[in-house]
Amino acid sequence: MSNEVQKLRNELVVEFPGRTRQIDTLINLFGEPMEKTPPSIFIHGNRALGKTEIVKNLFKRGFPTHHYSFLNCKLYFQLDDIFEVSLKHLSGKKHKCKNVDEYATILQEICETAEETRYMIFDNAELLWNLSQTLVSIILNLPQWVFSDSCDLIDLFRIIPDIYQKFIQPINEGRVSINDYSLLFDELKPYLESALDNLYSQYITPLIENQIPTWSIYLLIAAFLASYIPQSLDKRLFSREYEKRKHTRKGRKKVSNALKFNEQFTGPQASEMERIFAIFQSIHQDSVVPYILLLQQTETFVASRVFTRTTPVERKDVQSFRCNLSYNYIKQISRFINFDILRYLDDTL
Amino acid sequence: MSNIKQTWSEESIAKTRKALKERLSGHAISQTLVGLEKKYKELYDLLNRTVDFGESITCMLIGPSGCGKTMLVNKVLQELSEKYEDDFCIVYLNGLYQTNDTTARRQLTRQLGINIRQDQTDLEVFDLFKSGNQATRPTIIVIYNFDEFVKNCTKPFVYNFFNITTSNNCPMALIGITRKLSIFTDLPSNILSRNSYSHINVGRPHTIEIFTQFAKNTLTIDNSVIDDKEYFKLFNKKVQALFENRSFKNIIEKIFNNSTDIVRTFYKICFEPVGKLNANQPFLIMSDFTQAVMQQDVNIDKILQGLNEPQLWILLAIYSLSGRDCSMFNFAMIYNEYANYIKAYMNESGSKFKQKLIKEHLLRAELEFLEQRDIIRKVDGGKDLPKDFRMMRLTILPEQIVDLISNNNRLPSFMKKWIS
Repeated sequence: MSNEVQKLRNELVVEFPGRTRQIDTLINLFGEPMEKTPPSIFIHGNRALGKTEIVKNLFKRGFPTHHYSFLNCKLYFQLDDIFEVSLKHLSGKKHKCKNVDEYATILQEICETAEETRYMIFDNAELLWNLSQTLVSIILNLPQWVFSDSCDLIDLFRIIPDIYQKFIQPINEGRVSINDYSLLFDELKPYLESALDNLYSQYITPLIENQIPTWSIYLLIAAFLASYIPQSLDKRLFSREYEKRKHTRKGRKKVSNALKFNEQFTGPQASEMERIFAIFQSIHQDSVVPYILLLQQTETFVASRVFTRTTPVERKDVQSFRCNLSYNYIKQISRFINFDILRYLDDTL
Repeated sequence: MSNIKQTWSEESIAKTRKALKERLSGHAISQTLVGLEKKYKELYDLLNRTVDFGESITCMLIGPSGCGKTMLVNKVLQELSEKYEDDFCIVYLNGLYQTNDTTARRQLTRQLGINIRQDQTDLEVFDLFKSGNQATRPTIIVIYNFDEFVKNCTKPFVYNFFNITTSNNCPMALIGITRKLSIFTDLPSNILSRNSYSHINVGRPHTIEIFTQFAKNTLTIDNSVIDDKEYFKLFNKKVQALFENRSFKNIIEKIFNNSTDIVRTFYKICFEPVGKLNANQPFLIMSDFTQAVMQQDVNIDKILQGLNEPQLWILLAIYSLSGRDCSMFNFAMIYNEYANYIKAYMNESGSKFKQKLIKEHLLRAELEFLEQRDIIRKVDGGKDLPKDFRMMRLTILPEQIVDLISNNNRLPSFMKKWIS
């Protein structure tokens, strides 16, 4: 092992504690620049263990720029992109290639003139399988590759600066001494929890803030109910006459319990537009909304993917839709307009 | 062992390492072909006829992966080029890369150094080809993944391609390499009837003795590698000792019995110990091999053991569902099952016990990871449903989950209780 490699190895070992064995293995497999390497290396493991970072750092510091190509299959998800980018990394020039044949030819030309090994690293390599059926076998047939499997490294980095600010705040304010870790941690805990909660959640900007009319919210709720309640229960739940006649909580409870296991988990079912509008009329009795407005609003919801159209657009006689909103969201907006959704649904949904 | 520690020159160690690595990565052409001597002679005679007497032949090499098809061809071609030097040309095609007529044609002409225009038809190109090139030098065309090549290229193209071999102007040998035994039934009948084929079946090493011999040959070095006679003698002696070692024999046996591609598996395992050769450790040692075997051994149990707690909760919920005859599940069901269990447990154990429910979106991210690792798999259909409701299926056995949880001592007891 040359001194340079030794130095790089020591740096990496310090930087990635607990990964000494893996780093040694990798360096050993790559060996001296003129030596041959295994045709392909597959690196895999649980999320956020440092797979990507170690490989990235190793190549960045240990190899000249044009000797390797590092590409993340999440960013380059098309065949052409992968070809173009990897060739650009290896040769520094822009190549256009339309198919595998050209790609292999150009690669061959690049590697022919070089004595040292060229590396291609694919992060999130499992996505390659989705691209084309033969791509992986094609790639494995070419000589030298490194694969690195899935890794969402590391969303934590995004929030750490903010958290650190909060962490040192009590010290700056002079309330807590630097060494009092347990107190500091207690102060930090609420921030940490909320930050972790937000880490993966994708916020949809609440529709309420966009100030859509109240009746549109009723339409959303109506579509949600239509998607989750079987049609056979409509009469019982939404008909006013029925309600007058027989209105015991017990009966309703029994019905909704029956829903529990079937409808809850199969997801929203498609429902005819007429039915959605009928439910809408039943739950929204304040004023009459023009039919055309309802149609327009429905189209808007379809465009923003809140609804999914399940029948072809060309069919004019019957149109059915499905509501894609989650139960939590519906609960939230019904609270906003003071609508008691639990009247219709069991809480276990 | 003697106490005198002799120092070996760094150069000879580096040379040895390099040569061995070349062999293990499949770049080197080995000196001897263990168990393939007969096939070698057969192929050599065939190709020799083309190069020497200008006879056109077609030949298929059929055999499982890692049995030495490519090595056989390379070795024969090497021998021929030593004998005849530049008196013939070689074209390599691969059914995986040349996936249609156009690319196959372009590659063919590129390697032969013929210039064609884009708009030239196949017929013209083949005529050009048939009429011979560069004073009718014999041509050897090697096609890897021949089955793919036949499948992807159009019938007329393949027919014409084969037709050239019957032409008198241009002696040509066509070698198709494939893993598919059914290659002859897959070929269109008009092509089959037109040509006579010789085919060579290459089998993988039949007995463990042959394989052991092969493995030994791979690791032994001789004076073609280095001049340091003392070093390579001692090196070979150590290799010999390795092969007499009981646990090394076990490794070889395990590879022979369990792997589909025994040769490549052996190469894979050898790579690390070979890479470790240096001045401090000039010879191959047993412990490196055992370690490499341990590391290379990827199985589902190892992956499962690496899972974290939320991921295990998901598996537990799935197990609990499967106990109620739900072999298919979606995220909504899993989360519901999980939340119910935690709530029930909290009710049971009273107020003393406090366990935070893992948030829905965090668990969802873990579920996605399990899907990436193929521990669970999406069931077809329902593609346009919201993500939470898409049905999935377990790819491992429910019993594996039980084993996993009950054998893991780090897990909290209320997690283990769920499976009992």
